[in-house]
Amino acid sequence: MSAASEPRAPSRLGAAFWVLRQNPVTLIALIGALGLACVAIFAPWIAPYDPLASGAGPALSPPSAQNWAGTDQIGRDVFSRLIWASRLDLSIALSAVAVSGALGAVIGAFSGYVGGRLDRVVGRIVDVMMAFPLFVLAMALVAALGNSAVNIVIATAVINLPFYIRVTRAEVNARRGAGWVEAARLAGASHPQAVLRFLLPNVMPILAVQLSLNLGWAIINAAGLSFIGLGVQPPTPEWGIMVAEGATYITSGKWWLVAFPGLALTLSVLCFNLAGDGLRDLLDPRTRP
Amino acid sequence: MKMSPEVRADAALRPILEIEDLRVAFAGRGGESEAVKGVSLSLAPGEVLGVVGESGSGKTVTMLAAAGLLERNGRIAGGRVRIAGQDVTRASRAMMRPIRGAVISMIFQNPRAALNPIRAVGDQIADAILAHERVSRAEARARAVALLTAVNFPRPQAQARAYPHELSGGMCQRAMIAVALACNPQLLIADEPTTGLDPTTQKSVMDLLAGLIAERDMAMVLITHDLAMAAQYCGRVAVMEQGLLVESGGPRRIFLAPRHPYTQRLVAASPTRGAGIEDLTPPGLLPALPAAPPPAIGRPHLLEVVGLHKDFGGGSKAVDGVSFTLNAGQSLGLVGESGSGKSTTSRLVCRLLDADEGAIVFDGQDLALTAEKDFHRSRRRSDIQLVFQDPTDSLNPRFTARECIADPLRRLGRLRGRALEAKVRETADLVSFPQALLDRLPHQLSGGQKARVGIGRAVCLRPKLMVLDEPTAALDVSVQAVVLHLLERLRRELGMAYLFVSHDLNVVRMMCADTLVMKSGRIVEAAPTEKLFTAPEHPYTRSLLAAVPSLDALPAD
Repeated sequence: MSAASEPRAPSRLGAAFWVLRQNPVTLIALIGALGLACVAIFAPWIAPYDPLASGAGPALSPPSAQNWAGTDQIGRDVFSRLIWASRLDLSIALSAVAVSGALGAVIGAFSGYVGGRLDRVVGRIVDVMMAFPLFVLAMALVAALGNSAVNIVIATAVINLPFYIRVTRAEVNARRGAGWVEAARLAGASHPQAVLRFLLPNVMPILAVQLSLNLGWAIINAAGLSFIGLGVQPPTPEWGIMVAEGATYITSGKWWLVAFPGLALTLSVLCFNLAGDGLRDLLDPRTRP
Repeated sequence: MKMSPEVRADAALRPILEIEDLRVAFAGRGGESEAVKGVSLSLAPGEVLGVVGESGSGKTVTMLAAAGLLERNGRIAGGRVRIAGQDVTRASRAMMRPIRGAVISMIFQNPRAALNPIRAVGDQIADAILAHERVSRAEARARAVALLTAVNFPRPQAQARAYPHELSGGMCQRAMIAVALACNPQLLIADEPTTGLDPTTQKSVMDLLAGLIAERDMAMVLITHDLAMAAQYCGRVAVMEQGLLVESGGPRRIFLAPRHPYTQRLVAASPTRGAGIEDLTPPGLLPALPAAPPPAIGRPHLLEVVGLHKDFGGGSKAVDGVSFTLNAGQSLGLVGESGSGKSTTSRLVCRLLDADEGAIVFDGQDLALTAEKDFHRSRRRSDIQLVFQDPTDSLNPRFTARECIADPLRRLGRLRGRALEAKVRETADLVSFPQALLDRLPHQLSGGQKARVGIGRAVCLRPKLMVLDEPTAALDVSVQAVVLHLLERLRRELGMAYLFVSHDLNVVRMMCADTLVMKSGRIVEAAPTEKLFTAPEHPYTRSLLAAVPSLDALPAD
């Protein structure tokens, strides 16, 4: 028992490597997510053609040595558009998740710490939001606010909010009676300081997992909104738009217009979800043998 | 007892449990480590063996391995285990199933966790019977009720239908004993069966257990960290340290004439009636205590609590009209069982909770006039500090030891930079915490080190009043001895007043000049500690005192 777990020299990195060796899937997912981020950041240097200019090749030509993912109906290079699209999709997803994460964590933390009436009110609002079909809510928000990338961020952030509130509320609630929270008060911290400086950092690992999991979902959401014509408008390169535009040609055998953006979406969502699962294992000491 | 001498002699030849050179290893991040390093012991039918040792000594692991209940990352690396003559060292789960329950059974520390929360206790006892014997459901139920009667349930017929959450901790442990005895096992392994229960409940559960064991001629292994309890209830005691069995023998021999240095240290560290704080640790290990400050006669009280009331709702008041006074530099004990309101009282005095009514006059100023949520701004905040019960729970898991001590210095002491660092180091020295460990996180520290950080954090601002909320309840006895010594030294050096909340009367006796006894939110007796122990007036005080197991009254071997 405790004899086997003597306090060892600090080595979080060592523990991380140990867990990663046990979970090669997580390692692959993390590398994939990192690679995706690099692609988005270095898009101008990676993309072989201008994503908006036609004439990268003959219109609707299948994948070839010049156009790795073929060309679209007006002769734009699909591969270059895919690369540029990752930039937009990832930044929409990241900002949406960051906004809802920050807001949800603070609301959830106070709700869980204070309890009582505030907790009940917040809890019911969250229930109402989650009872609503969330994608429909996002559609309604974008329709009302207007088609733009910023509004997609807002809509995605709003529908993500309940998850963060719930997770943070539960975690803070479980810790609010802990001795170290009382100790913070004895050391001269006010109630809000105890929440923001002591409790929130302690639930951060759990939030990080939720963030990673939601990132994939936010990408699907942003692409979905663009797919149905809300949100980002053509000719901007965006995975959802590319799938929507390509869908008209799929019956005539022009598969590459849909297949490649679809694959990009699937892989990125998969990466973030698997990385999120792996992060949870990494941060939860109970899963360590 | 019931058996004839010949049968007994024959049975003594065939021990119910034989452990030979048992080694248990656990797989972990740094490879395999041995938790049990070659333990041999045997137990005759009808014998009661106490296995004592501190946390990490391997006492529980040894018994879990014997019962085939090791966790998946643990394995028996060597040696042999025989139960009733049958070798079970490599027994599969299927082979162990008929043995567990029918021959050997176990009860654990936390009965509420061991019982199924969504099944009535009577049904759980019946389940245990049905799992091992071919009897009808009705018959199993009838036996369950009989068992509940045997474990002193006042209304067994009705309470068989009760769920664990409807029963108190003591009643849950009784129900757990009933489950364990359901199939008339020959051997019961009791792993810290009463830790976490109040002294009076502890005594009644242990008396019951000992009675049942004797009545049924069963053997029992009592795993405990409490030497006095082992001495009181066991015919033989085995002492374990770091995976090894260092000494075994009759309780009188072990506790009055310990041979192994570890046993000697352990026995010395256990608080007894006559002992003082300096007797708990080996001479020369710690610096001598400074002289006690002279009593403050004629000066006004440091703390005067008048008519404190607190009601959380739910029928009874948590604190119901508590009044007491405390002088500067004095140490006042506050004892009582869980639910008596002593923790609430300490939170009220520390201004972490608002009282419904009453005054807390500290240094001439009524602190109750400042709301709890604004008290962090009061200049009195640094004058009243609290040391918590559980050193693990009271340290922020993300703060290093340095940050833990620096936090109050930064907020209340307004120290920054080099002055802050110097003060942190000074505090570490004051509480004998190695400066080299200041950058470690709580989970990289031992229990005693964490306790020092918790004390350092409280004393760094030089408070006038420290509330100690069971400061050693979660520590091993040898660590407790050192921490008590430290607390006493700090009180004398810094002239602090202590409000010492505890359920361990022997500790209070050593630490406090005066003692308050609390029951159901009221103070039922307040007296100088010596008088309280020698001539208790209130019947509740008397029952508390009677419940404390003690090494002073050892039965003959």
